[in-house]
Parts: sequence; structure tokens; C-alpha cells
Amino acid sequence: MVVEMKIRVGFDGHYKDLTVQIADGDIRPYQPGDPLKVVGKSEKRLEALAKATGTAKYTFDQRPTGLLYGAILRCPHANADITTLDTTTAEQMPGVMAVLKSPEIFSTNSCRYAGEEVAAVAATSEAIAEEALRSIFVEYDVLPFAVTIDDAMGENAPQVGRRDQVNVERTTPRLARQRGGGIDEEGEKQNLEQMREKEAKVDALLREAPVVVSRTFETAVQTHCPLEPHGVLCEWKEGKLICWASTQATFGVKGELSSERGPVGADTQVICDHVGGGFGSKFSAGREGVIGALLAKKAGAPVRMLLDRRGEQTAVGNRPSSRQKLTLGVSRDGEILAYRVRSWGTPGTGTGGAGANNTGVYKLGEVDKVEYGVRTNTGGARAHRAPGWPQGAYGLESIVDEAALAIGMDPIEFRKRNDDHPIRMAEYDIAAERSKWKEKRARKQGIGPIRRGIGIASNLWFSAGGGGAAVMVRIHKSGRVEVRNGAQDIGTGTRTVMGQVAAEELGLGLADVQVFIGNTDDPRGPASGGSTTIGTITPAARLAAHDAKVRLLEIVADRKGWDASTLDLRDGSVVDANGKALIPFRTACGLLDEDAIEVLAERPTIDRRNPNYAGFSDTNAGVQIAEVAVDIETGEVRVERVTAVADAGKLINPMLAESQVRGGVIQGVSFALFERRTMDRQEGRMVNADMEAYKILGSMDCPEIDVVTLDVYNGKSNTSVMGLGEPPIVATAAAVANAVADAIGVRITSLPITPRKVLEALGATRTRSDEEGTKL
Amino acid sequence: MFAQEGVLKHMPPKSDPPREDPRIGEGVSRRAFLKGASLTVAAVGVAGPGARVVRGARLDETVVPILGPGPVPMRFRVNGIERTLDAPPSTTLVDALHDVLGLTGTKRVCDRGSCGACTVMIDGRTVDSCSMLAIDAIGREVTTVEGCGTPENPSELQKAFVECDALQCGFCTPGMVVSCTALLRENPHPTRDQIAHGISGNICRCGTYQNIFEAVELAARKGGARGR
Amino acid sequence: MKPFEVAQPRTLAEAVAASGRSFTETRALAGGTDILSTLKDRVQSPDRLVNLKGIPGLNEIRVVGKDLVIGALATHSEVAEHDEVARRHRALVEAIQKTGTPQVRNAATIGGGLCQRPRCWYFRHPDYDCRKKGGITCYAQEGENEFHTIFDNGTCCAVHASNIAPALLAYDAVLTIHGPEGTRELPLDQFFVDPDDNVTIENVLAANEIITQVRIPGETASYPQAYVEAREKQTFDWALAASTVVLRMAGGTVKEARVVVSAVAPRPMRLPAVESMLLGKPNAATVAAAARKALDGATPLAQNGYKVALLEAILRRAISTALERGGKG
Repeated sequence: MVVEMKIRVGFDGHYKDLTVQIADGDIRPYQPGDPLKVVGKSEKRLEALAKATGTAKYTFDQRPTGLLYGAILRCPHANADITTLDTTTAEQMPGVMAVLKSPEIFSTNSCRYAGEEVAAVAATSEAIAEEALRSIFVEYDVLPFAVTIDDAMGENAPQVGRRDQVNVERTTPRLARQRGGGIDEEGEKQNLEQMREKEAKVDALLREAPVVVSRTFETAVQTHCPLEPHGVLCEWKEGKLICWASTQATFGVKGELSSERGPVGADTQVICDHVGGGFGSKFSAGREGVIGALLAKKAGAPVRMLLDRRGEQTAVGNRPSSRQKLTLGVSRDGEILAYRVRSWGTPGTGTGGAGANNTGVYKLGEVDKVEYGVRTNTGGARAHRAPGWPQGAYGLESIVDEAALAIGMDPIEFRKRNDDHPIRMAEYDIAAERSKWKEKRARKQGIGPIRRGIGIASNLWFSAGGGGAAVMVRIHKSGRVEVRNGAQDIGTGTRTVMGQVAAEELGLGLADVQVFIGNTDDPRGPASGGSTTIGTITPAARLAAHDAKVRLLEIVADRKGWDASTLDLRDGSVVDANGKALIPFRTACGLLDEDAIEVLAERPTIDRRNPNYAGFSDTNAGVQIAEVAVDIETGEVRVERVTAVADAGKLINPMLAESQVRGGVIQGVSFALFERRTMDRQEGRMVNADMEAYKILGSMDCPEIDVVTLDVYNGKSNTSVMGLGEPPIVATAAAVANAVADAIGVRITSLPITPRKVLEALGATRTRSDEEGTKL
Repeated sequence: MFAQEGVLKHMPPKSDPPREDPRIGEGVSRRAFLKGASLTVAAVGVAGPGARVVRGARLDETVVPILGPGPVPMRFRVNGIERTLDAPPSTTLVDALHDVLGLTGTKRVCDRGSCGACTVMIDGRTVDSCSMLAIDAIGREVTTVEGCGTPENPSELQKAFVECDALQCGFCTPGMVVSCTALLRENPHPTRDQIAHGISGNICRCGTYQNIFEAVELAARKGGARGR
Repeated sequence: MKPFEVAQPRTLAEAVAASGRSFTETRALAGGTDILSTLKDRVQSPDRLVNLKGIPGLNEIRVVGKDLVIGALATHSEVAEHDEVARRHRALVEAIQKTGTPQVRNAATIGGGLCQRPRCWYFRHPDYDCRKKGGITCYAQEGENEFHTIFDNGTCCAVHASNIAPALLAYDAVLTIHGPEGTRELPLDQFFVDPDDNVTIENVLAANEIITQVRIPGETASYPQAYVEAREKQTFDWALAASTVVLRMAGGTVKEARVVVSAVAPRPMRLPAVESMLLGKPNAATVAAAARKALDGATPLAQNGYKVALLEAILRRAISTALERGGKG
């Protein structure tokens, strides 16, 4: 059911009128020139004061009476089968209230990476829980292992998986499979045929291309390291599971724990008032969630089952590594003609999810991409803020810069030559101007050891949101307004923007509405993923508030004998057609017969597969320019400044949007310069599973960040907004790498760019043997 | 094993008033600890609350207070209020604050002194409370984030954190607030470099550093950490 | 952590009495920043900690005659903020400013800084039984060693982690150590134990001995000096290579030089051969040659060859900085 509507879309200097189809019952998307009072304003985060005073309660902070502490025993071997698991001593220890064996819950005695769960206990103190874990007797059948992609891809590589699982599996194009999982021979034959054709075509184009550049790039495994660890606090009440979860998907956790097919299978309520970071790693209850629920059930008492930092860094996700062999053919005037990608990455013991998104953003001509997932005996990858993109952007933007250099073209001109995104084309100019690109690009290096450089990279994203969310607005007779959705706020500002769109619709201030989130007993909401939360929740919130307003005004009109069609809510009052205040909002609410108006609105969509309208642009765009200083004697790299131009569709809250961009840039710089999981190949363990040897950017490495957020009336939904959690991290490391190459005249071909790599690239080292390269 | 005596006793997560003096009974029954060392156990209760005493043979009349390994009573001031609790001497200050006293603003994150989420002030200087034993706070003034201001009566700094959006997930925020409060008390008008130095022991994974710099500068203009 | 008890001595005599003969029995507790981490990671698990903080007077900083005496329990912050330390020992202050975090500097003591255990990630990992923990393998030798030693790494590759140790070594500091037999003085140079002699310890201190103070002899305020290090992160990181240079100059001439390099070897290394090259009126070429000389005997591992070049650059900078400061003074 759709209706046609004429809307204006675009941004300053780039508006156009469109006739679009919108869902029946929905309201017109925000329009340029709408007199918005709360939306578009930098309202303070609703929970900011609670967080700044330490009164915000996280899962970690819940303290029900009789609380027990859960702890997990992890396998010290990279690849092993459990042959004996004896927990008798632990069970008899005073203070130990429950003991679980992992094979009995998860139906496998295989441990395929060092850190996999073996057993768990709940005890009256953490010290007792630790002693209990140490008393558990385990015998392992220790198997050969591989923890780097080189080791897993070698000639006589040990088998990482079990049964018929091969170490290296093609993921792009996806292997043709039969129902049930076996290889579909016929489908594969077609795949291979198409791949051969593609390869031949690109071969021919590359042969003819006037300039061809080729290089292999690598990125290291990055862990999420949210400050609040993964985990739950579980309590059973009359057969129902109450689960405080540190999660970015309250309903996902509920679904998992209440699933009949799962090991818990109970009616579950998930609560998450605040979550101390997730970055993509907290979509699932995880094994720790299941363990927490079962420990609490067995002990008959509430159990806090949160991971320690070693477990956190080892077992609950990471951004997979990548090795990207890229070849780009270009014309003398800068047109990209053909592009070849061969890439590999390890997502841990599986093969999926390790793709590097190195074909995004530009018009790349003919593309021949083949990609492989490589199993290693390491902790599994999970979605990590723009999964696949930062590593792919690093490869793509590096090879693009090399091509520009090869033909003597300015990198921005080269990009513009191969781009036509309506927003990004404007962003290039804004970024160049604000960073004084031309001037800095042309500068001569000084004579000291410090070399300065400037580099650019782009991003895109596609986050107008989707269906599946519902928001309840309840207007009480007293004038109190509740806005309710059961999803969580991971620090992106979901709670606040949901309140803003509802308040706007009701002609109230943000302080006049109460926002409730993070409880699965409230209307269903999305996971905080794909930067889609704001685009999924706010249209439902706006529509719910709008419909509640209509109901209220109908009642007011009826009681007062006014014409409802002439009434509106504005500035805390019911107003007439001329905007004249008639009665205060609170007085109007007092006219209700029933206790409250309740409206539950679903997020409007045209249909399930097509949740968004034809707006200004299907994707949001960004451009970042990084400026670095490199000490060529010590190899130390500092990022001094980043100019980040970002598009988040219609800005609901400019300050919160800017915070997202700054945060993305900082994580991107950290990925560019510092972060890598280091695996010991002798025993197969992560040796830096902490927050010290695993290096994370701090205050003194923070660049000055100049953020420009464009206000784009995208028209993709009634709030016109696009999410912004992920896009700002995509381009940063790539821009930094390009700036480093500009500074020192040598390209560092792997991330992170450490002093070691800078000095090695500059040929200033006396390495005994350096055939190893970056550990992946 | 040696630990049988004290630590395996149930240590509930609650703050109790000091129990009956645990010196009674415990010290006497305890076997000598250092085999072959010149130490004997005595039941002389002169060492302060909760302590057993060990007599050094060479130091005829000297007794050395020994705490634990079981729970011992402790007393220290937190945010201006005298607090008492029972916990083993191996309890870190962060666990005593968060789990026993229920001052949940102080977060345990890395538990190794690398991230600053557990930052508190001891007699006005910041420390990582994960890297300090609770018994080392005995007799000292501990200030946690709860002591820097309350929702009803926030400090200028806390107001500035709100104003400048100097937080996202908020899990590092209590530690940041304590570090910035200490910084402003020592240096009411810090430069940006000095602020960066001041919070160099606090990791924010969401990347709010620039907002925190701005918040500290705003608070400094408005009278620093003192003004509420 | 293994549960432990804590002795609360109020005098040095009590501290010694409460200490055992081996580190499996007791360990001294000062600032706690390092030892608590090692206990949590089960790097060491003594039955008892002997808490030194109840002993009065151990954190005093004072001038005695011409010497500066730093109590072993003075924190890094107290030392760096002390006027007399700042006046005399700029390199020490620079070393402290690069140490840990503000929180760590406020808690960690000078004595503890000298006694801290290495940061090697194999040593710190509970599942590796490395040589330093009594095992038979140094995993870093064939493993992940980009942050490890480039000198003397035949037995163990862990670098000595202290920033203050090299600075104090450059001032010829002398430790006062209290033990069962009373008090003795020990030049800091004789404090460190090489892994080839005993890999499980880093210094000669026995379980029942306590460093009570660090004495820096003589008045060195007029000595040009510098501590320079390189690191990956500017915010809280460990040095990749560091060097301390202290010069005695008169009329533009170097009369005496102290050169110590650190974060590259199992102990802070004083380099007499480099020192002698700096005597007289060193020019840029002499400085460069001296810095190169420091690399003699380096045996970099598979992943840390870069540290050799890095050390050379850092040392050249420290020498140049000290000379510059001498020129200005």
C-alpha cells in the first residue's frame, strides 16, 4: 500500500524535487525549510549526567541480593580435544554454587583455539571462583595447529577444522553449495567458468592499459576491546529468565536465550540500560551468556558472568586480518579501466566474514575479484565497526594513490575522475579547502628528521534503516509523555534522538518526554548494527508521536467544539491554524477520558524487501584527509590532523553526529598506527590479550579532528536520516597510510604502521632475517 | 593448601559493620607460616583491628601484624564518609568499592593499571584502584566519581562533560571525570597539552578525547572542578 | 590471584622479620602497580606480601651533604615534582615523565621501579612456563620478539623495563639495602643480575632484603644531561629504545661522560667505550661515531633489527641534546 508524494531532497546548493512512493499511513519526510525546533538541534545526551556522575548502571553494576560470580575456564591449547574433564574438586569447594562443563552445553569436546570455553563455575566470590577453576582437572588430546594465514595455507598445513573442513575456502564468488552444505559440482563448474571469463577480460584490459600498478597490502587483526566486557547478569524468577546483558542487540539476546533449540530455552527478559561499548562484537548472547543463564539456574541464585580482559581480548571477536593483492590499470588521463583483487583473511576457525571490502566507492571499470577465507586456530571474528571496510579501503585507496602518482595526477583529481556520487563530489572540495590540501601537497620537506605528509581517502555507507521496529508513545492524562522502544543505546545517542523526533512532533521540548529503552518487555527494536538503528527507530517514533498527536487533537476538538483539522501542537500548546496558542498541552491532556493515549507505530516500509523510499541517494558518503608527521630516524608516526567530511542524511542531532565521526576517526587512527593481535606461532596463543601490549590510541596520540557534517534531506524515510556509526572509520586508516607515503616517499604495505615498519621500509635496519613480514 | 583457612569462607558482596573482633580465636589456632623461618605465631592482639600477630624471634618483644588471608575488617573514608567493610587483604580497592561498598561508578576494565577506568583519588592524587590493595586505603581519604558531584549537584566539570558530549558509551567516563577533577585542582587552567597529559592514563574506546579536552577547558572557564 | 596474607610491619626490623627466605614465601609490597599485575597473572604467587608502606620515613627526599637521597618509597610523582630533583637531575625527571601513566606515577615507588619485573609477554602470560619462570624455553627467541632485547639475548630476551634505572645508573646512584644482617650500600651498577647468571631474577635483592633509599652522590645540577626514548604510542607505552646521557663539562669541553642505554638489554647498559669517545670537544661526526659504537655486539632477533637503527638515532639525540644544553649553560 503506497501513496505518491512530491518531496524535496538534497542539501545546500543541491536540492531537487522528486515524486516518490511512500508507505500508506506514513507522513512526509522532513523537508528543507521545515520549522524544526528540536530535531536538528544539538540536544544534550539524555543519559549524559548519569554517566558523568557514575550513577548510570551497567550490567557490570547490578548487585542483586545473593549475587554469585561466574568464571570460565579456557583451553590453553590452540587445537585440542578434551579427553578428561573432572570437576569433582571444584564442586565440593565451599562457596562454589554451580559448575558446568562446556562439552555438555555446547555438544562438542573440541577446542579449536587457545581461549575456547572448557568449564565454568559460579561462586560466592571471584577468588573462590578462580580457585575452583584451577582445581578442575582436564586432559587434552593436543593437535597440530595454525594461527597465521601463512601457516594455514602452507603445503603441509595442519587441518584447523574438523571432518572435511578445508583450511582455505573461496568466499568471493561464493562457493556453490547444495542444500545441506555439500559442494554443488554443477554450480561450481559455472562459477569457475565465469571466473575464468572475468579473469581473461581483465587480463586483456590490463595488457592494454597504459599504466598498471600492483601491490599486496596487509592488515592485522584488531580486537574490539569494549571497556565493559561481554557478559550477562542472570537471575531466574518463577521459571522466567531475567538477563541484564552488555549487548548491542537486546532482542537478539532474548531470541537466543529463549529459543527452544538453544541450551537455555526459557522465557527471557533482557535488560540493558547502558552498555559499555560493543563496536559490533555484542550482537549475540554468546557462550558466556548461555553459561551465565545456566549457572544461575543451577545455583538458584543470580550470577554475574562477565569476562575478564584476557577472555575479552581472546574469545569474543575481532576484525579479521587481510592480505590484498591488488592490480589497477588506468588510462593516462586517470580513468580506471580494470581492477584485479586476490585477497585472503582469517576470521578464526571459520571461513566466512573475513572479506575485505576493497571494491567500494569508485567506478573501477572491469573488476575481477576472488577472495578466500582462511581458517586458523584463533578466536573468531565478529562484525567490527564497518566490517571489511577499513581494511578494504586501506588496500583500495593505497593502490588508487599509487596509480595517481604513476600518472602524475593529483590524488583528489584522480578520485573525482572516477567518482560521481552526488554528495561525495561536493565533499572532496570541502575537505580540500579546509585542510589546505593543494598548498600542503606541494610543500617541500624540511631538512630535519620530521617529514610531513597529507593523504586522502573516501567512504560510503548505506544506512537509511529498515523495518522491524515499533515505538510506543503514551500521552498520560497528566501530560506526561513516554516514548518506548526495547532496543539499546550503545553510546551512539539512540535514546536521545528517539526522544527528539517524538518531542518535535508533539510540539514539546526534549525534557518534556521520557524515553525508555533497553528492555525487551517494551516494543521490539533493532540491533545496533550496520548504522541502521537511527534510521530504523526514528521513523517509527515520529509516526507514533504523530498519530498520538492526531488522537489527542481529535479529542480536544471534540471536547472544545473546535475543528480538529485546524489544530496542531507547537511550543507546548494546542495552536490554531494561525499558530495562535489555544490551551497548554497539559490542559489538553487533562481533557482525556481515559488514562492515556497509547499509540504503537511500526517503522513504515513499502514492503519487507524495500524498506526505504527513493530519496536523494541510496548511500551516504564521506571524505577524509589526514596529515601526519613521521620521524624518519625513529620511525615514530603522529597523526596531527584529520579533516572528516561526513553525510548522515538529515541531522537529527549535529553534536552527537559529530561525536560519532570523531570516534570513528580515532578508532581508525588507532587501527592505522597501533592495533594488532599478536599470535605466538609456537604454542598458538595470543600474547597481548590485555590493554597494554595490545596498543590502543590514547589522549596524547589524538589528532585534531575537523568535522564537517552535511545536512542532507535524503528522503529515504520520514526522518530522512542516515546512520553514522560506521562510515567515519572506513577511510581514516587509508588516509593516514596515504599521508605517510606522501611524507616519506615510501609506501608501508601493512597496517599498523609502526616504527619498525617505517624503519624497515626506509632500509635502516639490520635485521637478521626478515622473511616473516607482518603476522596475520 | 595454605588458603584453606580464610579465603574460602563465604565473602558476600555487601558491606558489613565490623564483625566481632576476628582476632579472637583465629590467630592462636593458626600454624606457623614460614617453615624454618624464625617466626612464631602469637596471640597478642596489639596490632590493630583484624590483625594476627607474628613474633620475630630475633626481635624479642616485636610483633608484626599479619592480615588475612581470610577477611579482615577495614575502615577508610570514601567521599568524606567513614566506611567499613570486611574483605580478604588480597582484595583490590576497585573490588572493595564496586562490589562490596556498592560504589559502582568506579569500573574495573583492564584490571592491570593500563586503562584508568578505575581511577580514584587517594588523598587528592589519582591512582588506579585495580592496582592497589584495599588495605592500603585504610586511614586515607578516597574520592570516587560519586564524590566529584551528584546528579542533583554536579560539578562544573561534570556539567561540562554533558555540555560538550564528552562521553559515548560512558564506561570510561567515571575514571575520566576523576582524572580531570584532579587535574583541575592542581592546575585550574590547563593547556590542551596538559589536559592530554592529565588523561594519558585513561583509555576511551569510543574516542571522545577531543570532547573531553573541550569539557575541561569549559569547566576551567567556569571555575574548575570545585564549583558545583 | 592466589590468596595471600599481608604483613604490616612498622619498622625495617619488623619488615625483615616478616619476610621469608625465598620469593615463593614473601614479596615486598610498595606501590603495588607492578606486583599486583604479576600476582593476577600468576607470574609469581607468594604466600605473603610484606607491605612496606607502614614504615615511616621511607618516602623522604632530602639533601645530605652534597648528595641527594631519595627514600625508596617516594613515588615517581613525588620525585619528579621535587624542586631539588628537578634542579639537579633533569634526565631523571625526563625519564619519570615518560614512565607509565599519571595514576601509575602517583603510586609506583622508586624502589619498586628498580625491582619491577620484565614486561615480556611470554613471561607475563599465565600459560607460558618460560625460563624466567623456571621453565626450559625462552619463547621469545624464536617467537614474537619485536619488543625484545638486541643485546645479551642468549638465555632470555626480556628487556629491563625500568626508565628510572638507566637514569640513576648514569648518576652513579648507590642503593641502601636493609636485610637480616643490617644495612649495606650497593652501587646500582652491581644491583642487576644478568640472565646468564640467574635468569629467574633481575637483581641481587634477597626476599628478606629491602631497598630503603637511593643516594645520588655529588651535586650534578650543572651537568648537561638528557633522557631520550622512542615508542610507538605517545600515550602510555614502553620504550622501544632509550638512552640517558650525563656530561661533566668545563669551558665547552666534556671532562666526563656517562652514557646508559636501556629497553634494549636485560639490564640498563652503561657504555664506557662510547663515553670515552665523547671526551673533549665532540663534533657531529664524533657524536655519530659514538652512537654507532653503542651498537657493537648487538645480536638482534628476527623481528627487532629495527631497534638497532633506532638505538643509534636515540643515542645520537640524547648526546646532542645534552651537548646543546651544555652549550647553553
